[in-house]
Amino acid sequence: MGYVAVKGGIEAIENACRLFAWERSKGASEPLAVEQIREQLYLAVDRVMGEGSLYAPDLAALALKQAAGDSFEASFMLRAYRATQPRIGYSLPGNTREMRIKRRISSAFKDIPGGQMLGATSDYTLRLLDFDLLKDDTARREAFRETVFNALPINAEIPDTLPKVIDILRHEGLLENAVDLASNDEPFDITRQSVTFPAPRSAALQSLARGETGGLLTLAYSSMRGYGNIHPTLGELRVGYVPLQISHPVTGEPYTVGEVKVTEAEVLARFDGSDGMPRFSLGYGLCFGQNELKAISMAVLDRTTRAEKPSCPAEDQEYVLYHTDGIEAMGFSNHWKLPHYVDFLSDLDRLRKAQSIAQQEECHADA
Amino acid sequence: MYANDPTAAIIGMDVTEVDELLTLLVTEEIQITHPPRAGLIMMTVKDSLAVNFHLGEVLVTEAEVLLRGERGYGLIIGEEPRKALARAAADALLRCGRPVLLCKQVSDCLERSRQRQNTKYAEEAALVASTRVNFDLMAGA
Repeated sequence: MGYVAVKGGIEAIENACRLFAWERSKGASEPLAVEQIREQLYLAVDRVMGEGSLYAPDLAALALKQAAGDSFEASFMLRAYRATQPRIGYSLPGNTREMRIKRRISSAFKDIPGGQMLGATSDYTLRLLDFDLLKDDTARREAFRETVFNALPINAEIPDTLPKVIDILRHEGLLENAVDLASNDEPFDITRQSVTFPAPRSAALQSLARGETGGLLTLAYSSMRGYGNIHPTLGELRVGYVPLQISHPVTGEPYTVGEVKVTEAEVLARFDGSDGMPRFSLGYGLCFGQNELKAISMAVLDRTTRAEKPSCPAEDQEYVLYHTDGIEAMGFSNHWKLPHYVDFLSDLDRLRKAQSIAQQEECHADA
Repeated sequence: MYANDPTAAIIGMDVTEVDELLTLLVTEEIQITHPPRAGLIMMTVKDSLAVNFHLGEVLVTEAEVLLRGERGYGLIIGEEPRKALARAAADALLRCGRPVLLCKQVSDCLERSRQRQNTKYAEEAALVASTRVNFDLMAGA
């Protein structure tokens, strides 16, 4: 048995990469088109864009295909791709009040101005397998499309803008004001600067927005179960499209580049009476695509990490931000698969030495 | 939809509409000063406590042209070189305002597409509106 640092293995590595590509293409089924993934597995695409921190639906779908459905790998590819592209600039600050709404609900109030719209959701299904999908052909789809559009109520419309639930609470002095935390500073950019703690709010939100859904959910769930409970109520959850705008380089006017699908969650949390008047505090979550678990978890963690005296992981900003980036967590976990022969040899040496000392001490004790 | 900038209609154009628009635009001499290139725009948003932060980057395509001495700028979401070029050329043409007939043809082309997209949006909105819910409180609640 030899313990040495390794090199080479190129041929085996190349064959392994080829074998991985073969595994996903050796079956008898038709090749999966990127367009099919983008359209039919759109929630997976949205998740990859959010965690990869790059809004590019076609590339996210391609990454999912290449990674054989592994969302961590796909997000990693997307984030690696963004590192190859030039940064053209920053957008004008987007306003989610201008969102083209696809879904909007509140668990705080039954009646909200503009109404609640359930949108496309599986929330109310029984999670029973739909065996009809086994024969999902074009004819079935056409028939389904007809039933969807034929059932439309006449004059079904949505207002262009909808007031927010938090506006009502703020108007009545029941919710913390925006000015409490507002800052005129340029937002921190974690892709350009190293984060130090306590991190400014803009850095924390940017980190959480690119966080891994499962990681954020785990820590948010720990808070919901009592480890730093903030007693959250979902004031409003929105899914929709927000305009992406820059300043036109010739005219200086706002110039729309496109629209970006996002999920926004506003969580009403434990009273805060630091200024003498008790008010609800707010937790805020926003991420690319439709990813409601992530937006809600982010909102909860935004609020928990503002605890003045952290008493558990979910309240510790450094702990939360350092452990929820999926790409970093995956990279570190994956690196254990790489050869550690020399490290382990050192561990073995130490163990053998320790055993030898223990044996000697045992002999002395017996003598 | 984006009524203040007619060239924004190009964002949602289909392939046929982009072809139609480009066919009109290339009747003018267009100097491509910056060929279409992919890049990233960092999307900044304002949260509900009025703090701006960076949500993440968006893949875009950028192009610049000169048309009758007017600088035209095109930036569009996604990897869309033809759309970026069309938008830059339309931007220059409509700001220049000449030739009048071509400006009208381009404006009409953009408007037709805008109306088609608005119809599609209205259809999607109607589907969402059909899920408007009014929960009934149970007795005793």
